[in-house]
Amino acid sequence: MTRVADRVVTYAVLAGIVAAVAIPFVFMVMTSLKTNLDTLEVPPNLHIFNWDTIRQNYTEVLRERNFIEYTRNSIIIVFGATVIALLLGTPAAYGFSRFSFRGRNDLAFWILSNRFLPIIAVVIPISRMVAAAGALDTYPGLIGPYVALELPLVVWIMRAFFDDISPEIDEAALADGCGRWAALGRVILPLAVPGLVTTAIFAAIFTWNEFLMGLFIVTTAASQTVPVGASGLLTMERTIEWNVTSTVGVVTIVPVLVFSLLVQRHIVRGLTVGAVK
Amino acid sequence: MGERAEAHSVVVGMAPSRWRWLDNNPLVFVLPVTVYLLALGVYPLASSFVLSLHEYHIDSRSFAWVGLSNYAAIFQDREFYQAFRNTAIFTVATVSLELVLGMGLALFMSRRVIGRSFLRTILIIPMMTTPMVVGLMWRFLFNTDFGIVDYALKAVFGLPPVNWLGSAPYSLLSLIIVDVWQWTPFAFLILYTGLETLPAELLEAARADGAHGIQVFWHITIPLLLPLITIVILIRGMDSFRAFDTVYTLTFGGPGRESATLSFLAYMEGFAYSHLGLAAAMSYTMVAVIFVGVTVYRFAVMTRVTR
Repeated sequence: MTRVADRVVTYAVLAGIVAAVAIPFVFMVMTSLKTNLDTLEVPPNLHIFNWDTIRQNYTEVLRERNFIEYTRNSIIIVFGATVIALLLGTPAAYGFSRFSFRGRNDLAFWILSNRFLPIIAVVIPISRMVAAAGALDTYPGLIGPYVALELPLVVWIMRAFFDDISPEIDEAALADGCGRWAALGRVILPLAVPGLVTTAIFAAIFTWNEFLMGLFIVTTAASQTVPVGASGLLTMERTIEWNVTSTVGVVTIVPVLVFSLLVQRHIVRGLTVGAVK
Repeated sequence: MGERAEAHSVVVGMAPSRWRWLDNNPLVFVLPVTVYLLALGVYPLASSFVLSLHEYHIDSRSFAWVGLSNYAAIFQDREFYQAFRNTAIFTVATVSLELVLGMGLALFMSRRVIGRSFLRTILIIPMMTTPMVVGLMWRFLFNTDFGIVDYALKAVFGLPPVNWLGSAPYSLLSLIIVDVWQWTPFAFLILYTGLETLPAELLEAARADGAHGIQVFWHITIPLLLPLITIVILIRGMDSFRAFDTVYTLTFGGPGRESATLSFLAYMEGFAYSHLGLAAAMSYTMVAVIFVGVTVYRFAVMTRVTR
């Protein structure tokens, strides 16, 4: 193949991929800017520049359908779960990275294997535990289980980052009289800040997207998370208002996409959680 | 090193000896996570098994030991077999399509300068999108009356409209298409990273010895990428096997139970019909399958790869 032909083919493939990825998003955003009547037209019309319609859709979703409230619930829950998971998980990741002890690999693999647990198999007992603690429909009632879902991710991603920091640095700190915890807190953690940020964003996206656990623990309208609130629009009995539903979709994924583009370099590593080394 | 540090710390006096056990015991570091996951992972899992041996109705609050009869009941249930078959088809189809497409694209893009980082950025987007929103947006595209999919099929190929979400086998096929759309990037990114790290001399040497492209692929590229291929199969396989969110928003298992996965059927049984014992038994068959998958990976694959 000549150079030019090669370039043309490459650009064609890239264009195809961009189209395949973008088309569903483009349609969702466009639909969120239309009146309900306009969403039903094929081929799709371009009545998307009416400011009144746009404002109406987004006001309806954010105010009347309470998505401001759901977003606040989700942010508090995501923030709480991620902070606690990092506080618990970071020392463990450091422990797995720096100490060698009997059963280390088995314990570490067991922690990772929790990532594969079918949520449906634990959600009934967990929701009963939450209910027994009187925490249904409260922030702690959702934060508690979400910490458990985030921990395998946090431990394995942070461990990979710690493994990249030379143990000689710890040794120097220990030689200077630091204990292990002081070495972790004062010397190693400052070096691992990029890893900490990546891990936090990754765990936060995971919890923001989670749906099934929330569906069982949330029982009242006021305490819904964003995905649980969004699922409420999909009831089988009613006709779906596609403009409103699409607006909900846009509102749900905007934070996720912004954050994931921030840590895009580390996404693959986060997804494989330590399996690739 | 440990002794030196200890001696030093006594001299400098930064870690009082009373607290030194906190410092040199790895258990102190890993115990909190272990306890947390025992409480919110292992305990619910065990409790779910106990539940699967009982008949439990939320409404009447009756809780009666029934031994294995929930398992006997689901293994005679046509819906359960159907969900098992759907889940198996879905898992095998999505994992193999994602692997083949991801590999094809990775091979195409390897050693090409244009578009590398651009492609990486673009492909992150579907993976990170909230799965239930993914289901939602495709539900609009697949709509029979005003969906763009049917419109495009008619405009380009002159095909008659298909009731994608409301008729078998298209509803299951829709779920597969959407999963492939969302997760082929994952297979691509892993395999592409792997291809970039392959020793170029090895491939050139094989070519110099007269091997064809296809021979090089089968005898050199594939064996070297095998650890990464296994990881893609494990992670995608386990996640496809548990599929719930897109089923819920895209087809709701319909029509009837034609596209219900195991997670979805267990959800309906427990949530909609309040048969918690049956739901637990169904989900435990999933636990068994996942346990086998993860264990095989741990002992057959991981030890070989990492040692």
